[in-house]
Amino acid sequence: MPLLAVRFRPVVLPFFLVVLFFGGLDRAGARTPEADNATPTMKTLSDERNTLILEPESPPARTVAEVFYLVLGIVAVIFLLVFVPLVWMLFRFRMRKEDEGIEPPQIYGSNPIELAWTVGPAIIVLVLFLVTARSIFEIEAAVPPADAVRVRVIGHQWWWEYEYPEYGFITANELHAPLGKDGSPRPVYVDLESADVIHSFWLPQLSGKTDVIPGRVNHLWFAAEKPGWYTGQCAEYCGTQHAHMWLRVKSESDQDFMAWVENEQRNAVRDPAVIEGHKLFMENACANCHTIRGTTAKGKFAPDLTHLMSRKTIASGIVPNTREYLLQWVRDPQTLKLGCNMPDMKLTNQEVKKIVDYLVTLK
Amino acid sequence: MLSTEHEHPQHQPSRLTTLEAGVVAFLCSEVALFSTLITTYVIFLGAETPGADAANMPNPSNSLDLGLVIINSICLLSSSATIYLALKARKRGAHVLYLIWFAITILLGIEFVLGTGYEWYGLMTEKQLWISTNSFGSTFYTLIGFHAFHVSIGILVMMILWVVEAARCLKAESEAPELVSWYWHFVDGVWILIFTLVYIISR
Amino acid sequence: MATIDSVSPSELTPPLTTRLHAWVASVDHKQIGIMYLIMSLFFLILGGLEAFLIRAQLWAPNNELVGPDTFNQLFTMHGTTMIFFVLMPMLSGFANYLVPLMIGARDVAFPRLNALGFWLSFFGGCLLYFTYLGAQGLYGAANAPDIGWFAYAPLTSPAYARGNATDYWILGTMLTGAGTIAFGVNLLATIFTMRAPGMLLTKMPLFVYIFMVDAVLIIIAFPPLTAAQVMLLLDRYAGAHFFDPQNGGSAVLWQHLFWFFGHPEVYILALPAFAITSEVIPVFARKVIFGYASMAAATAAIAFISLGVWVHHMFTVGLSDVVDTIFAASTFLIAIPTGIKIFNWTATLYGGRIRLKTPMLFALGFLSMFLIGGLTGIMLAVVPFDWQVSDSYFLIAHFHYVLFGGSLFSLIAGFYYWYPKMTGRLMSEKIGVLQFIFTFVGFNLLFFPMHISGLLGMPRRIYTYTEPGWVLWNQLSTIGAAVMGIGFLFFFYNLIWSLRRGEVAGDDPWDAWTLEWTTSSPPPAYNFEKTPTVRSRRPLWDLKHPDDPDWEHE
Repeated sequence: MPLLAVRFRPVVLPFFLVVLFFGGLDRAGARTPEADNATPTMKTLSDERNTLILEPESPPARTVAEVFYLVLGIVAVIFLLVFVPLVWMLFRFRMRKEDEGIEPPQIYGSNPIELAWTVGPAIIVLVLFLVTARSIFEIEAAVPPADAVRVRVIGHQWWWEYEYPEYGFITANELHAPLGKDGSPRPVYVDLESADVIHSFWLPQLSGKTDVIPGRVNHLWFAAEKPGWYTGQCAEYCGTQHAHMWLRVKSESDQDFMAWVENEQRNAVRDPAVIEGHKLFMENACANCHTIRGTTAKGKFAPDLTHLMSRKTIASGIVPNTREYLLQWVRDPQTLKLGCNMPDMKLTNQEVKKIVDYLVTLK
Repeated sequence: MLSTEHEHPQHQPSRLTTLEAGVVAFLCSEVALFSTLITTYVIFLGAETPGADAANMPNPSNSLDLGLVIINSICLLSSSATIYLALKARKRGAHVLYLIWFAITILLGIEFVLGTGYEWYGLMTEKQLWISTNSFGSTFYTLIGFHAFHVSIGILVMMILWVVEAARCLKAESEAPELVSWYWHFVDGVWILIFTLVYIISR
Repeated sequence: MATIDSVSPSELTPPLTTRLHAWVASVDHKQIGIMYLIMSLFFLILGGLEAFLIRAQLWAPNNELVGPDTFNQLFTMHGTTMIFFVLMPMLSGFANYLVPLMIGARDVAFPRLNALGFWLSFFGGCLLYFTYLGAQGLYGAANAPDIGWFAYAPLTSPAYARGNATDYWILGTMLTGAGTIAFGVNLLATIFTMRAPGMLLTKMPLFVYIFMVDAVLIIIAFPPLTAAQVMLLLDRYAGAHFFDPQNGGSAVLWQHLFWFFGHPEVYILALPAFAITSEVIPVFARKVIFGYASMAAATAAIAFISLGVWVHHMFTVGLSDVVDTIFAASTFLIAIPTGIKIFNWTATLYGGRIRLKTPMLFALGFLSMFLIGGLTGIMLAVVPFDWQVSDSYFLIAHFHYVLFGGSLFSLIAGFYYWYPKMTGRLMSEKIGVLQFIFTFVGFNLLFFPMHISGLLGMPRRIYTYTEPGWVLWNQLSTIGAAVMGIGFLFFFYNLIWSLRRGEVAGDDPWDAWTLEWTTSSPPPAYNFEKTPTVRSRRPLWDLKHPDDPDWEHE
């Protein structure tokens, strides 16, 4: 067969290897029907935005996107100015048969040329520096207006805690941000702290990232321009489940926001129908880590569950907040988030069902 | 000491001999090392442990005593003088005098190390300053410790050299004693910096 | 009775154990250089396999090829291996082999220290890789470190990095760092005091000059890393509080100390690439390097400025705007001398007679890939843009373009260029061209899409993802990794095949101009029978062109 002829082998064989390799990979990625329930799926909700930094929907992100196009343009021009002549020279000055043994004229240097391509880049770089300095201050020097919302963000291994000091409550994993009363953007000022290691708060469409560092309070602001969900991820490696520490921000009208706030401010719903689940929750170590305001559960280590059902996702954004996923999570969180700090509590199926019956009442 | 040009039949003349150049390069790396440690010490000066009562925590003012440290410093700094005298004697060919000054240098160095150890013992038992107490403890012991470690290595090398010299196994034109003295002067110079910073400025 | 004629050649060859022992006990810079190179290729395979697994895992969303525990170990080991155990020994290998030859010396200044430095480096690598077999980590036994190659505190504190895997990372890199400092000291003493008569510091080949600057950077930048690592060990075992925020320590301090080392480190890795390119491009374009003085000055400027840009790795830490602006300025500043070098290499091509042999292909690959990487570096210096794409795949693209497309491509050029000198045989041109095509295409396919996934918001160090918009770019990257892997298979095949079957090289197969080409291939143990005297930067050019020697123009 011509393809197996010796002179073709070095090229043909590698391609067979490539094909085998990808066949094997696909096997690795194959998901059985059971696996579909077991692992987080793509894009949990359809009304989420993407995370392209070039589709900013908040002033700090917008500043970056504008600067990006300018810098990209400059850099692209420089690239072409060097690369095109380089390729041209490879053709123009290639060694030809008749040149063998003849050395070309040796050019040792040229001061004027050196000066030119020192001064030229220096000017470009100066321009870029001025653009940079201006955009840093444009973002950083913003003064919080009186109606700005303040949120205290605390990063944990591998979830986000949000405290609204002005409203007096703590929630987790989903941050709500109001638009102005007339629907215009309203700034949210975020104080960033860490409970353990370094994380990073990054919602690309809202602003650049700022690290969350223990022992230090950092600050960041954004002002979402449209209603809807904004997403992001922790952007500083923080341990096993760094990949599943997702950020979700709901930008909503002022009325919706205040309704949410009022609900969050209340203590947990007490539904007598699920008293068994409530008791199980309190007796098993759940209460040591979680808080449910209005009960004896006062743990600070894990997300506040007082209004768990007001959230659309669980496990820091990675799966929808449905009964099925709650059952799976409570039965063994390690199947959804291997290595997370919530252990397999070794509950019976009955116990799990009862606890979840209780949890779904926490609206 | 440095001559202006070292003639070598095979090499382009240079200001330093090969061994001298090596030692200088090595000492530059040591400068980088100690600069890092000193900078870290300075950064943590005045740092408080969150949640602890600052008045009760050991800090430079309330835990460091000058008395013993001054004695140690006098010993170390005079050892620079004695090693200088030793080398002068060696150059003159006064072998026994050289060995005597060299031995005194070593003993002064040993005093410094033992004295530092004794000072640390007092800090730990009386002032309750351990490396784990607070950031002052961490930076203090690390900085002083690295320096004392360098002094100890210097003493070890000097002792080996002393034995070799006593057995008359080293050539007269060997650069080794000179270069060892460079290292020793460097270590002493670093001590002046550390002493001033830790025992005078930070108190 | 046995006479010399009745003894067969195989009886004259010493037994394998004796030959191996000669290598292990060697203090000859050429043998040590080769051992460094072999070490780097060995760890290149390991680091490459780790990268392969990473790319395989990221082929599909929610892939389950490896779990988070393994993935986190893979990227930690991949980064640490490539920087400390591939690029560093590779550059040490070339410097060790070539610098004494290029300056007309018999060996380096301190041959036994040289051997010590090599074995320390090698042992450090062994210590690091032992973790796969026997270290304890978060997941029980046989855990490699999973702290990332720059090991941020407090993730490395005993609370979050349980077990001793982290300590193997610290000790392995500390040992290799000590070996590297020894290498730097050796190189400086050699270059300062052992040059051939007539070779002033301004008359050295650019390769030697650049390595001199590199050695200076090494002795300034590595000790802070050692200090920081000792502090981390004290934190972990003696209860110290350097990086422990709960007790007055500072997590940011680790970043400052690490990057004060880390940034010069990447220039330590890049400068040798510049050195090799500055030898290869002139020889294969048949022209003297354009603007030696500017190249030398630019190199010194780059080294000096590189000590003052480290905070650009920390723009997202939330330091003051003034600090961010100052370090943006210094980062922009370093672009100027770097640009000068790129322009000078390109200008060297102008008016030349370019031979597109494999060393030149890789040197040109370096030039174009480093150009791209340098330009994305300029983009990253725009601080608010960095706030968006730092710690994303855009950043991964940037540093792979400069370290892989830059440094490694140039080092591969070095292999092809000096392999004949070291072994007496040329590497196969055919296989070399094949390797270049696969490596170049594969490299760009692997890393260019990462610019896009970074802009799309994909952070780094995530073991899996779900965004549908990221899938295409990740798959392109994985395909690129496979193609590039094939390229490396060609490379290893070429290295081994050419040892016995390569064309015999002779002293000077490339018609080059520096002193190493005056010796036989391979050179005798003593390098030069008589120390050469030089008058210019290209002693062989002067010999070959007595009518138009360099020293009349320099």
